[in-house]
Amino acid sequence: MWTAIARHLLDLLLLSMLLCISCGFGARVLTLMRVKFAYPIEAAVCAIGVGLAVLANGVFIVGVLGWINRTSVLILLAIMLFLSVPSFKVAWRHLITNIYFSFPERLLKLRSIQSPIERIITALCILSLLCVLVGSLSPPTLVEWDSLSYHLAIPKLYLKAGRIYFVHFTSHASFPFTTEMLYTVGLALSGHGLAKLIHFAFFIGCALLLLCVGNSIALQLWHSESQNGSDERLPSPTRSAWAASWALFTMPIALAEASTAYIDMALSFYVLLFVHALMRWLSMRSFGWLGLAAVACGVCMGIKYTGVLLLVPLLCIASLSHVVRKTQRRARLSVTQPLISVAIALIVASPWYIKNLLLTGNPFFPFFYELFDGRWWNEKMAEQYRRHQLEFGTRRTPLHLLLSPWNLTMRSDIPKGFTRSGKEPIRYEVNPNPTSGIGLAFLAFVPTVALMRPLSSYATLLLAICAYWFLAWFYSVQYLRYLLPCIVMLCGIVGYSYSHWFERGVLARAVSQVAMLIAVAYSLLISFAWSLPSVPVVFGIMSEDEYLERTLPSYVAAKYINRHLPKDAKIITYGEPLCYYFERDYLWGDPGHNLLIDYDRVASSSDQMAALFEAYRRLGVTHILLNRRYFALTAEGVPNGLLRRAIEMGLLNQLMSQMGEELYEIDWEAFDAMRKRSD
Amino acid sequence: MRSNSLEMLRCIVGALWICAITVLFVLEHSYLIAYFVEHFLRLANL
Repeated sequence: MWTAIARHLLDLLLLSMLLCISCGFGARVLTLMRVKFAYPIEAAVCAIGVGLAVLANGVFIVGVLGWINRTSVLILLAIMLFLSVPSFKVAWRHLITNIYFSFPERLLKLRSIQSPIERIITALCILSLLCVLVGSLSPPTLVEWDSLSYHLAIPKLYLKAGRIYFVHFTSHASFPFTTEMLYTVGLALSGHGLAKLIHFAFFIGCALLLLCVGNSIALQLWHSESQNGSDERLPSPTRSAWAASWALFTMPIALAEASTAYIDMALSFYVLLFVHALMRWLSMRSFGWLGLAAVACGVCMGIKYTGVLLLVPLLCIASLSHVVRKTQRRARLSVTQPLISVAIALIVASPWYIKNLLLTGNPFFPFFYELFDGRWWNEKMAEQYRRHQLEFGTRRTPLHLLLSPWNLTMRSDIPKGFTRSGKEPIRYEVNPNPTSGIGLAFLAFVPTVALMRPLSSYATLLLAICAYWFLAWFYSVQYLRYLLPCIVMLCGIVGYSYSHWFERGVLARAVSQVAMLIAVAYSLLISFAWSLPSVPVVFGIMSEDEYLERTLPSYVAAKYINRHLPKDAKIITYGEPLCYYFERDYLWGDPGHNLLIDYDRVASSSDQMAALFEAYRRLGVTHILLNRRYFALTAEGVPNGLLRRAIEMGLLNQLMSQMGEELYEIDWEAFDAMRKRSD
Repeated sequence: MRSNSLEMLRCIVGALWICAITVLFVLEHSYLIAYFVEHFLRLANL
């Protein structure tokens, strides 16, 4: 038990060190950019964001040069630490002042600001955070499909090879990999525990940034109304900040994501940083803030292709805000500043797109094949992938667009047997389940903005960006995780709306508090249920090995492979992409993932069996792993029917069969003998 | 006077909307909530 806890503490210590170094280095960069902050927390979060982005890009460069290993990561961190020494001196002075004066004062202030129900909400949020922490300290298992198939698996391959290279067997390895570069740091320094904690840190970063965003939205209204001399009851910026942060804890999907090594919380973090920097730029007009927004936009593009969406608001807001102020100097700035900011974003994101362009000929590989063409992909696979992506969600009609907030809230997360109406859930995720819900707060609070007078112009701006993201999502791939950054941005609106209704009479105050309480409590219930199975392994009651054996079939196969197969073995997998725990070379064999084996050519060959096995020989494949839950040997055709026949003919010898996983060794002697006979 | 009653109307509509959505959400998720609560209670007894 104590060993497990000591290992978690070590990971938390390493994470703190990483964040401190990133904060120091980021602060140096932001000082050079002349960005001025209002609060220490804002400065720290922005600095960490910039520092982590620099670290990720540093790892990418080191990886491309072929030097990626623990030593090079440590050297990189040491360089960042050395360059951030001046920031640490300043930060230390601020910290000492804060510890003795500001923090106690603020804690006392917090008690007087929040009502009893609000204090309960804050307490429930802290409990949710602890549940998420427990989940993130557990080893990645079946529920973390994408972590095991590529978010962690590909960085592990890079570390094994000591370089970043083109992974042929999966197109996912060609996605922008900024977050995965940070996971590479985690894997190099400690293991998947640290990698998962990095994603957890982004979740906390989102909560802190939402404090800033919620505060800015309400504060803008105070500024504009004080100029107009209005005597309206305005929403409290402090309450708006807290409620925006609570809203994040009302989302079961965000809590579940935060405990995995996915990338969506990292993307949401930089999207929030983008929005916050834009708001600050609009109020302060310092180019540093626009520069920071541009950097955040570039990082978003480097995390996920959907980040490209932010280029439009960046360009539009940077241009329009100058056009509104019609002075001659402003007119000149209206051309240069937006262009410079877009250029910064493109430069920051460029490594991933240039890499793809050089390796495949398509900067957005494997998407937009019809536009860019490119190597290692073909029309059939592009069409198959497109059709698969369009399977999610509802039809794309204006009526369904109107209904989608309702559907997302009420019908995205309840498995079939648990609905009152008995209706099927809408598939916004592969398997709709309680963690694929967005929670109550959005539908309850966001539409009430229509009734709010006066309205903060920052709320309008945020709503416009969210509406744009939502439309792009609705008319493209209605996969819930792709919407997460938009929903996280909407937390700012929820906070502002809550704060507004709190000031509007007893009824509205009571209702809004109860709604927020129920939203947070429901989410806590789901996150508790989500993290409960991992409690024994996190607290060392069950060993990691035993936990994975019980929960992850591919781990059982991995254990056999790592223990019994020779070092030079190479496994081709069918129906099994979760190969993170494999310590031998492997590739995915299923048609549609890659062009390493041309199954159409095999199918059209006069001797299909020989064609398939010759392809295996060319690739150096020695073993075949079948996951029988997703790969039916009863199906006809290539490769299913061929593999069944190969087993029957004795070309494949079974080595293990457990939990639906079957491992076969290719009997090359039997194959060569068969060929001789047929010749 | 008119703006005051309009403001009050907005308040009532806003509060009713939040209240209605909360009730509908709880009703729609009631089986799920009951399942989890029962599950946790059973675990606690064990």
